[in-house]
Amino acid sequence: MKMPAASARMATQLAPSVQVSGLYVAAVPSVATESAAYLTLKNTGKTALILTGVSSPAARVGMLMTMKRMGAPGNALDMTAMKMVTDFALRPGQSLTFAPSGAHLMLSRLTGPLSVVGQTVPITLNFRGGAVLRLAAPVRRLQ
Amino acid sequence: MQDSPPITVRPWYVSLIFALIAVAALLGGVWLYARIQNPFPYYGTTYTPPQTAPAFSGSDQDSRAYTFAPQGKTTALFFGFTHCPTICPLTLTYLDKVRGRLSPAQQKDFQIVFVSIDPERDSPAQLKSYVGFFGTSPASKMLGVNVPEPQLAAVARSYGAGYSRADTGSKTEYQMNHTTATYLIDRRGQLRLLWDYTQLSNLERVQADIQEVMR
Repeated sequence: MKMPAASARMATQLAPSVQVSGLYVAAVPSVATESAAYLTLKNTGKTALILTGVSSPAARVGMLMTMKRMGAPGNALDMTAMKMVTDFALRPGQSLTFAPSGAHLMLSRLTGPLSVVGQTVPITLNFRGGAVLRLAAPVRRLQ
Repeated sequence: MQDSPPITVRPWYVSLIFALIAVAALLGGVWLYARIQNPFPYYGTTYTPPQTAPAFSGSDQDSRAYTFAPQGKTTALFFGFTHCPTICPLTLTYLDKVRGRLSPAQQKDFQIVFVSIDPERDSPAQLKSYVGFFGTSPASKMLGVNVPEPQLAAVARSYGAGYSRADTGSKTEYQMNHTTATYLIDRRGQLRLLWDYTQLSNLERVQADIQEVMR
């Protein structure tokens, strides 16, 4: 499909200087209403980048989440809590990995099942200043 | 003439047997000593001494009455919930992978039990779909158990497991804060060790723990 020239140019203008790797969305049972997107972001620009949001047509709500361990480290019987944060900052050159055991891009209230490996899910990342990154995430089982 | 005293000659194979017995006894002693000095290097956090795993009752994913009586099978027990976006899928994925690394005979003697800490939302049907997705072996089915409140609170407490609702700003939606340990219970019903979910990616060592406990 041919993109109208104007919107293509706009997308270029607003694209953040960031390198994406290892992107996927975790396949979950068809009854699940939550999943998450995982990836590594690397700030390849000269200024700090601040990730402020995630959204996807696959979920009604996208949230930036961190995982927080309560209590002393090393105790397997400590509680773990997920906590929503408003943003993630990346200094120039800095990498940030979202992984199942830590920070993740939560997709909540899924609009349809994400149980089929091989599906592709559009993911949009918003950065402070209006930069937008549109990605297509493959659905795959956690490794 | 006098006969010289009879010399008893021990046949060579008797000497060989004595020698082998001596070597075996020595090696056995060394092994025993090493084992006492240095028990199996478990990867998980061990219960020393092992404790009896508390029994509990609820319904399984087929809505049948279920009582966890640990006797018989080696069990990996996990408390989680199906709205859990990360830790629970990860834990069940890894436990299923480890199961797949066991021998067919060991797999028959191994079970993965998922107890919901969100019984209000996790109906048996919900649990069935959930454990059916992560448990990939028809021969060694993953079990999903719904224990209603207030019994659940007592069960969790008896295992040292904790959970609490965490609101996400909506009345109908909430997440759960929870402990993330998987408990390994031997076939005699003794709690032997626990792994934190962050340890489970080391499949080799988790497998070694299970096989040691199965001995």
